[in-house]
Amino acid sequence: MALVFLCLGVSVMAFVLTHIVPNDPAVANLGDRASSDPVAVRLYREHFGLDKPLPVQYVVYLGNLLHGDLGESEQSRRAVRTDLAEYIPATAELAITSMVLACLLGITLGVIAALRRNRLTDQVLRVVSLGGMSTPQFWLALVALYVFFYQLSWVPGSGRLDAAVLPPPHLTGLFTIDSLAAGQFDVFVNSVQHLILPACVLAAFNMGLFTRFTRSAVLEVLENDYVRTARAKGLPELTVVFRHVLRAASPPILTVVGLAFGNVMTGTVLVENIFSWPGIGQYSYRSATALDLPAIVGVMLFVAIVYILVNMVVDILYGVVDPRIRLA
Amino acid sequence: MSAAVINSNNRLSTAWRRIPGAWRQPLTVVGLVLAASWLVVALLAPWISPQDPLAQGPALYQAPSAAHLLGTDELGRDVFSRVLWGARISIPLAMLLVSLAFTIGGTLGGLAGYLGGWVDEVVMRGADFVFAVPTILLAMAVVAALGPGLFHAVLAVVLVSWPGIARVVRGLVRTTMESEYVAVGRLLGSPTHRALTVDVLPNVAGPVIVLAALEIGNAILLLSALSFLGLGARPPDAEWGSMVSTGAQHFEAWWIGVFPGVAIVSIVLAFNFLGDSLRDAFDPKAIIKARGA
Amino acid sequence: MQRRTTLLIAILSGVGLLLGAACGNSTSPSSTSSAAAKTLVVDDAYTWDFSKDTDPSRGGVDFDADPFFHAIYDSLLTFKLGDSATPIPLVAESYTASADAKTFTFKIRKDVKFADGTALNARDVEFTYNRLLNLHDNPVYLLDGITSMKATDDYTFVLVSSVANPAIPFIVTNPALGIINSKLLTAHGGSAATDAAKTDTAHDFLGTTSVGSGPYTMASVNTSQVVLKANAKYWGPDKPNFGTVIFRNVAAATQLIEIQKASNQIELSLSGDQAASLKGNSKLTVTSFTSPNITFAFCNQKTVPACGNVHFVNAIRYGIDYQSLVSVAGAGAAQAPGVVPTQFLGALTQAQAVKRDVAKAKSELQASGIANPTIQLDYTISSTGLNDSLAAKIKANLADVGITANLNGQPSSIATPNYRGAKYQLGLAGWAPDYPDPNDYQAFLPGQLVGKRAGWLTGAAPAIEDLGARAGAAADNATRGKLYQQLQTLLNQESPMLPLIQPGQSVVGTNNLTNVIYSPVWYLDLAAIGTH
Repeated sequence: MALVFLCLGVSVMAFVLTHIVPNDPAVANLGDRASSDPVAVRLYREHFGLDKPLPVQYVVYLGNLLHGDLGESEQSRRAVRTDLAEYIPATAELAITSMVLACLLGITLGVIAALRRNRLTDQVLRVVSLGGMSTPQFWLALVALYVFFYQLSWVPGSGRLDAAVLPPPHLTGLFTIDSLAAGQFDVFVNSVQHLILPACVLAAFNMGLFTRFTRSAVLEVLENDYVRTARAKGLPELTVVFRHVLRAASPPILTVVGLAFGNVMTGTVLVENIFSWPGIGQYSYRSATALDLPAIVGVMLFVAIVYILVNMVVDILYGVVDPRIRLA
Repeated sequence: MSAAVINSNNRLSTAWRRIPGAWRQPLTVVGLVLAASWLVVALLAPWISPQDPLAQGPALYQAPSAAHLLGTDELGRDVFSRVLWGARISIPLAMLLVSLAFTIGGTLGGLAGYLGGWVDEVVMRGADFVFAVPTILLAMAVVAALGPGLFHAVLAVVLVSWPGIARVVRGLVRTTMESEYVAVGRLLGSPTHRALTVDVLPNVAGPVIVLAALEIGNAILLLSALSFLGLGARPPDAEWGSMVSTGAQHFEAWWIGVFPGVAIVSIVLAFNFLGDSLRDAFDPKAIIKARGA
Repeated sequence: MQRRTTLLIAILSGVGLLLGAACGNSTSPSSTSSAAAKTLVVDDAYTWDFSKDTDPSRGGVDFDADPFFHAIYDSLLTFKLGDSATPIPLVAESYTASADAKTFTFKIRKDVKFADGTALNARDVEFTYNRLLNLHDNPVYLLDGITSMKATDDYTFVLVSSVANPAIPFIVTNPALGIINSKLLTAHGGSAATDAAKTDTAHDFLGTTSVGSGPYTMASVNTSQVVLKANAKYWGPDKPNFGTVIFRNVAAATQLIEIQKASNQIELSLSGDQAASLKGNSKLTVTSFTSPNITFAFCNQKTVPACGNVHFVNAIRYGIDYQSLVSVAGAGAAQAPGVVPTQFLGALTQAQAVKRDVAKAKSELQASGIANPTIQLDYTISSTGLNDSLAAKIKANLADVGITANLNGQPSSIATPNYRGAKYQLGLAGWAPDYPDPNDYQAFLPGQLVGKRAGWLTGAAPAIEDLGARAGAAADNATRGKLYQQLQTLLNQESPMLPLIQPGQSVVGTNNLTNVIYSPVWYLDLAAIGTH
């Protein structure tokens, strides 16, 4: 239901947005000479259905959407679905890696900061985490590329693989997994080398965010009586933290992790452009600046669906970590 | 009965009274000093910057030196002066943006929380919708449609940032409304506007101020990102994001891009230090829900 | 509980593994010695999607796809490496032109084979030309004025033009007119019929299979790269030197740092300044030269009536400091003395170029009778930032004369339709040659493509139009050259067209490569590139 509402909303909005512009996409997208050729312009408009009135275009679009057809991109002249299928795995690999990094680091540091509240460690972590949240990702990406690739040569440059390395046989589209599945260990190493820098840059903001929220969530739990009791019983600190504190603190942390997928999307647009990463971020930037309507709607729908799914998973996890919610 | 009222005032004042405690945090002071200095720079840039930020000198790509503290760029302009003038663009715009977003988000969230029913439903579904669409994608599409320019970028960011605020305000209003002392006040027949001004507003104001500090930082980040992509400020304007973008074309002259980036980090960090310390003073849970999107 | 900790440990050790791998030695495995296994990497900063550029008859000319179209498809004629003045045989072993320069007869070689082994004949040529005409997409203008294109027998192809067009041998070198395997393409949705625009469905097929006879074949294409494989059965004498050529879409800033770590690599999008910064690197060969693209300004009479006032236009013309524009346009940049670039027939010399004269500009402004004029300077934001720099300079130049220029840079999606729709005021735009012949620059005359964008319509300048018509139809090169020079001298005095600069362009390659030589039509001849 929410999904249907979203599809309608996103497509209406994109249609309205792209039609605020008085410009004709045919004139914008055709070549210099062809754009002044009435026949070429007419053929272009007919091909993309732009010759029909706007409401008709919209109804046609919805009709196609029902069949899972997202239309043809004016930029690539391919089905938007084909384009998305090609770019999503690249972004997924990057986004998932960065989220895993951000969660592991952020939650760990957050717990440490809470346990060392108001001591030096806490202050240092406060600076580090707020620093991560305050650094523009585009700038961090450039600086990281300059330092770690150009100056230190620790990592290779842009792209998902070295130019001379062929992608592994297609299975999931995630090169790290596909290469392992195919037993190509050198390809795996190469793809990890390419992945690590953009993933770290992308993780910086969320790492800071998770650290802050884990810290406050844990602090709140620490004030509870049962934690004091557990400690008084002489349970080892680690057991207390994992069994009692983290579990009780996880609902707000989960909420933030779910919402943070939005940050990742914003980050990928910037990071993918700088690292020449062939994913949804680059695709959406190009589509948006060229007002490629079918592609914009396609990307928006995809991201909205991911957002809904992630938050559904978060709701389910609530139930896992907190029996009270499951009962309710 | 009167006990309940007194109690409510106590609750209020404890939150507000915790603020001075925040000043004992060294980082709060650092944040305040940094933010204040940037405000001063923004105000005084025309008088304190050594050169006209748009004046093209004969010396291109000069490394930092006594004559040009932060070097010169590809047109021979003084990077130091441009960084100082950049504050005049980013800070006022971020403030304008945040006040717009708070006016819209605060009003809608307040109404949703106070009135409930279908108003609540409509506002919250609208907010959900904006949440589900990635910030930058919506902003990019808006700017692409309206044309680049700082004002359009601001509009685009307002469009995507009001729902976060609306959610928090709604949540705060609802919690306050459902609390005993408001209920008691109603029972006793105190008028609605009194409930709003005396009970709801003070309880909402604190967290909202914190949120505003944090949002200013985010606004500066997002605006500079749009400018970096060529969708916000336009050359020759001295805007930090577009200066980094120029710097990216000239790796060999690293100072062109590095220093505007440092400026962004320092000012966003200042507001985040402030917001974070203030948040500790207030109820952290209320703000959790708004951040992250 | 136990389970969860184990999971955590597993994840942590996974991250450790990732970090370990990342910090390991990252030498690229491209240094294999066997020739067939060698890979050449060419980086370009595209704003478009590679996937669009699979069909030469649709995607050619405007979208930077020419280097790989040229490597995949052989045209009738070509140019010697480094030359663009004399078309030489390729698929056509010879050609003859009628005395009136209207009928061109091409003799087709008999030993040309497509990548799948099929022999090429004149029917394929006819199919290719008709398909391009009937798809009516971007490159269709190449066949403007052509009334007939026929294979008169298996190895003879005849083009007939309605007007004299001595530029035709130059036009047929264009990669968009590379000969397509008609049998293979027809079997996969290709059509050259009159309704081809609606019935041809070969676009996706062309992205996976080679239907040309060139030294390389198309292996795959996606948004970020095009992969070419050597054509093992190439019919020509010079076999390709690399087993694989990869065209990547890489931002210029990234190209700048990547090239310093690479081997067998070429960067096409570095600005003059970026390239100059690499000059000291002994592992790289930096070639900077004057681009055949021109950057020009124009005063649009349609949006600004004052542009019809020749004194006002002259105030701008003499107010611009051309040398200051050259200084920001990179190593190799030069003033454009006229609309025809200095490399081509009929170009003006630098001595004939307009010089800045502030006093003259001020007196012209006074003569125009327009006090304190303000004009908007419209342009597209370019990926290298060059247009921004130029616009900032022009604004400063015109301020010296007393003209206020307000900068209005827009991204291509907005600026391009405005430019094409004649909505610019004082416009800043560029022109890349479609073929290396002055006839391509007829577009700048009244009522022509660029002329109309300046609101300069047919009949606006009869003397110029008459001279233009004579220059375009003249058959022998000496006469054409002279007429084009006269034409441009006149344009520099009376037209709303203001040729500014030819920017510096650079090709940076690792210095183990040979024959990395720029061509104005297809940028690089991939098949010629080898290694020391």
